[in-house]
Amino acid sequence: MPAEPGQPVQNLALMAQQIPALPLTYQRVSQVVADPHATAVHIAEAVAADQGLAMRILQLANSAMYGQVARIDTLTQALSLIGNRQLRDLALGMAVVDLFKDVRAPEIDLRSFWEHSIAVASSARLIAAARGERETERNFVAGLLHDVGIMISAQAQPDRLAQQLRRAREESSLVAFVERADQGFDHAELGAAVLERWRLPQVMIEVVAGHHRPMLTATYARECADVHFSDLLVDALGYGSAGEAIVPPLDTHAWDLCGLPVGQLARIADALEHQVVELTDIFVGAR
Amino acid sequence: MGCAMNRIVAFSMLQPGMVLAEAASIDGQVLLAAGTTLTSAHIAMLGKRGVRSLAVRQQPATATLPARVILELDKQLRAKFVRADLQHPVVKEVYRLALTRRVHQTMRKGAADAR
Repeated sequence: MPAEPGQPVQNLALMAQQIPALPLTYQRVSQVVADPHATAVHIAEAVAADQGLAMRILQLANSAMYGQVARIDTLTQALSLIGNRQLRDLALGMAVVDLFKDVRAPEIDLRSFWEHSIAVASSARLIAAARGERETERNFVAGLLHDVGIMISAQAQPDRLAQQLRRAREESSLVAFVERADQGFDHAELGAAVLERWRLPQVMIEVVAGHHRPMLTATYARECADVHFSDLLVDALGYGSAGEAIVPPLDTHAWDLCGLPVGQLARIADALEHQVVELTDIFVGAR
Repeated sequence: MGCAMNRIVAFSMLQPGMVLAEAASIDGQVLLAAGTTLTSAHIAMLGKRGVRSLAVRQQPATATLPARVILELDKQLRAKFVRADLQHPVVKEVYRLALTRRVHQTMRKGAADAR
């Protein structure tokens, strides 16, 4: 059906509006972390209000992602290891995974979708860490959310998305190209619209919006480049799938921005081999 | 993943092409240095000197899969890279890592099926 002029954007806005708000427990954690008077005990209390969240934060603190030798048994220990803002970002990632846990769509396997997302998240985090950055969780969560538009589309229009994914596969084309040709916008724009609705930080919105077109990103070009490259790396290595049948083309300028020597890639691929399955089990639940 | 593992092989199981993980020695005398690729002449010599067993390197991944399997994996992977510029050094390296992972996965699967 040919779209009316102006129709596509309206559809995008409509779809974005259907998405529920982030869970109250996450909002509470976010508030407490933002409060300069709050202590670690207050934050731990806010996390503990959601048992599933608390359990997963502890599992994460004991996972290969943090490489701890000594066991972390309490939320306050986990907090001092992970950091308050970083913990808030990880809680956000878990809240979003939970929000879409009942999505059923042809051509989309939820575990495979999140395995892809978590591998991109880990890779984006490892690239930032290789540059010597310390707050790498932001990159992790931006990577985790980069394809959230696919989930939104899967929930709002499962059959149309399935058609788009099949067409992309038949034409060896990027899913985003097919989406744009079919409906006038792609999952990157849709995801960014929802993140805006949730009032998430600008860096996450820009990374999600620009992961296929990093050249359009102005302020957070480097974070966007990390996720753009990680998406390619992960599709090539074959961790899960968000529906993409081909390895996306590389924006060479984005690669330069990552600031990573080619020789370090094997180390990142090796780290992914050790982390992705464990992290997917923690975020999505064991198989 | 991809880490070199050593295994102890009885003399009767030695084959040309195996690579020594440790020096072959008898009574403190080194007969062959670590890293030597065994030839049939080496094996005959080791037999004469009374060597019973040796530590050899686990064969690298690509050496233990039949060439046609690797070619098939390569073909499948190339189809995924249809929109990627394989001339670019980083894409080339990503391709190499992706093929290595598929080879390892296929080997692990083969080992599991054999059990």
